[in-house]
Amino acid sequence: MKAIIGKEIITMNEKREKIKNGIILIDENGKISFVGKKEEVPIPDNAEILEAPESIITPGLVDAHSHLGIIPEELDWEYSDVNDYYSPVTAHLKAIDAIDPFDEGFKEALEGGVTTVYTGPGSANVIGGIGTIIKTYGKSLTEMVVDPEAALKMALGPKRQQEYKSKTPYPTSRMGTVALLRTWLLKAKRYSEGKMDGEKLDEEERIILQVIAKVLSGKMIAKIHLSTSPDEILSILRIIDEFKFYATIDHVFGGQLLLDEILKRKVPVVYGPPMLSKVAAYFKYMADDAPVMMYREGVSVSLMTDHPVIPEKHLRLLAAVTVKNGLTLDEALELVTINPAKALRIEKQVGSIEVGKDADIVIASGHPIKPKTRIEKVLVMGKLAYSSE
Amino acid sequence: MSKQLSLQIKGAKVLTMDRNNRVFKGNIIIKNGKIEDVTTAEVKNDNLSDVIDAEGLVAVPGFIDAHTHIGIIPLEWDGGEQAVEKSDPITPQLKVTDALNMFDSAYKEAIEGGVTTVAISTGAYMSFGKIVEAITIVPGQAIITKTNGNILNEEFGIKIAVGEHPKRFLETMKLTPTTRMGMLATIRTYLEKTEKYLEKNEDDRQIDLKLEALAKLIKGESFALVHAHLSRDIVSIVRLLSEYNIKKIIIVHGTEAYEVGEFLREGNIPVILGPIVFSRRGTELRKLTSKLPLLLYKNKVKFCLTTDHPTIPVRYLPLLAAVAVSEGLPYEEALKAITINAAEILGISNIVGSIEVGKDADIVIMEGDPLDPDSKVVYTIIEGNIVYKR
Repeated sequence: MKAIIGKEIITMNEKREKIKNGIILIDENGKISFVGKKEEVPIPDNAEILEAPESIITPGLVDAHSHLGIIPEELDWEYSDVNDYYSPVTAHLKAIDAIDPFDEGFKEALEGGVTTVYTGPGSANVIGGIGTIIKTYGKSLTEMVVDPEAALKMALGPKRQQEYKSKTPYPTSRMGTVALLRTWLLKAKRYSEGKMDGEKLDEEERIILQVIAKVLSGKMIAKIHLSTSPDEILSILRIIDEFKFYATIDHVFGGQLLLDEILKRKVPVVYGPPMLSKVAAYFKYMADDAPVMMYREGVSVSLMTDHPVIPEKHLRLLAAVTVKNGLTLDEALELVTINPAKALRIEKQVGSIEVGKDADIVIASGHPIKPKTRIEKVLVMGKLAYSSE
Repeated sequence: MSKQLSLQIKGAKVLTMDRNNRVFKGNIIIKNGKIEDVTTAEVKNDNLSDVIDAEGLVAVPGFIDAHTHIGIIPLEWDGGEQAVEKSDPITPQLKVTDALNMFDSAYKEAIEGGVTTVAISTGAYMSFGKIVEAITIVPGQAIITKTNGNILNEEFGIKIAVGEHPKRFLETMKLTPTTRMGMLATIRTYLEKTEKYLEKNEDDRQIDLKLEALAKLIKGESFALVHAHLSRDIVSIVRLLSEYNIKKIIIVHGTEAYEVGEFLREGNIPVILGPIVFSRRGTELRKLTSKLPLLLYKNKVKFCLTTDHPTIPVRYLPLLAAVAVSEGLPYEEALKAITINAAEILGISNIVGSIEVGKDADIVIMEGDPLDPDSKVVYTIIEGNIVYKR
């Protein structure tokens, strides 16, 4: 049993309650058992007390899109496992098979208050593989993993000229990419309807179809990389209309021009990473005020580091960039806590400080979205995972 | 906006960034683009002056980014190619001003973010996805400019790159040399040639723009701007330059500079550090962390912070300073790292970097703490002109 006492608890619950002189009780299983004012509850005798009377307490931050542990820190690109040019459809690849839990990036993530991340394959393939949701702290990979098969990565956008000789050719145009995606979705649909029983499938194809079928049945999130322009966002929204699966649309440069289209389908957006420059013509639609515009319109917006593009640790700095562009500090905090938890469908477990949820908690010298604020302590599942002392 | 003859900023909390780091509530009087007075005494309105009521606001010196590629790698443009000459690894004669796009939107963004002075350098930015950046051994010269377009020094420095980046880039381009020994030997040969060149009477010289440019290094008229990340590369290039008695040296990026703190301190060599938030691409950047400013401070090395725009957009310079504070750098030091220290390192602290009498009136007026993201820029003033108003 642990008790944490702080100057203010920013709960990020549905009512966005903030509790002055608040207390959080954490049970033996690392779950939150009480949140409220200090005087409302007696501190159990056996509780270990963590007193931070000058500090602000918030939920652990959640990054909705990264490659943490898959593209390694401190090494050259040849050590990366993020893109396999094996074939344009590699739904059977699993991030969990490539995550290095000893990567420095996990340790650094904790220094930045990040306690949960989605990490997955890159965008080289039209269907790239299965991404994992993982805590940034734990004794083993097994202990860290929240959902090993959380989402299937799909990607539109400019395909690089492939140097590799893959089994199947890569599409070279947007139309070709979307057509290939549609083909496989249709095949998976037929497969899940039992209509492909008589047909001969090789084992690999069968596994691929089983994975895609999980997206169609809603068991797996479709995580769709859209990094160029509004027209590719529209193409994918049409695909979503056609097959009616749950998806998050990621990067979404140009999404600010399609507010109504995104809003009416209630598709969550994982924007970013912000804080990059438009260093080429194809970054034309990148805009650091885009997440602000989408948020104001009522779109569910989360941010991404796309680690290692921006190091995982600096997720909160990216939230600060949205403050520079018009959000309040508390609104920006939504983009890196409860919103990504909802987009990743793990809001029952993380994303806010509420009874029954994992005790993933950040104790900081001030509002965590102010970049100058010092992260003092981070707890994951009630365990002290980082301390600045 | 129109040229101001005279401007009064009244009632601001003034963070002067002067030698004593004075902070007080007061008034700033500007005449002919210069700061005429900074005072707590009451200032009467005169009919000749425009007045900014800055009650409740904070005035800081315009921010300075000592290493950017504004205008030479324009935004929304595949024009980054212009920033690096790829036909020849040694091109000290190249001038930024010959490829500067004054219509790059980064100028405007800089002004909106309160950045009023920048250095602009040849060579590429740090792009994610590439292991090394496109840079040759001596890619060219650097300038210092106000973000209103007023160039202060066209020949401020000559960039020299060492380490894996030029090494691997030359390899990619099938250029030589491709080792550290080779790169250093090439630089040495050129400096040797330059000395011989300078020994001749001007009339007897066969004009050589490369040697003319390098002569400025030897004569101490330009800075050697050394692009280096690793401590080993910092030490070896400084040793080489000192063979030719070149003392005006600035380390740019300086990822591992903290490891050779004493060496840099003794040589009076400052560091333009960063960007401290960026992808740790490859082994060259393996020690890149936002703790670097604190480490340099502890090692008493003079430094300022850079965005390396467009690596990080230049308008976010104050956010990088704020990140340094979160790692334990004293607040004042972080603010110095984007104002007066940058000015001192660039050798322009006589005209910019603090709010002091006699300096250019480059002032940013903000809603609150300049390092907080929710504190908006209300006015940016360059040389007494309001160039941005919220």
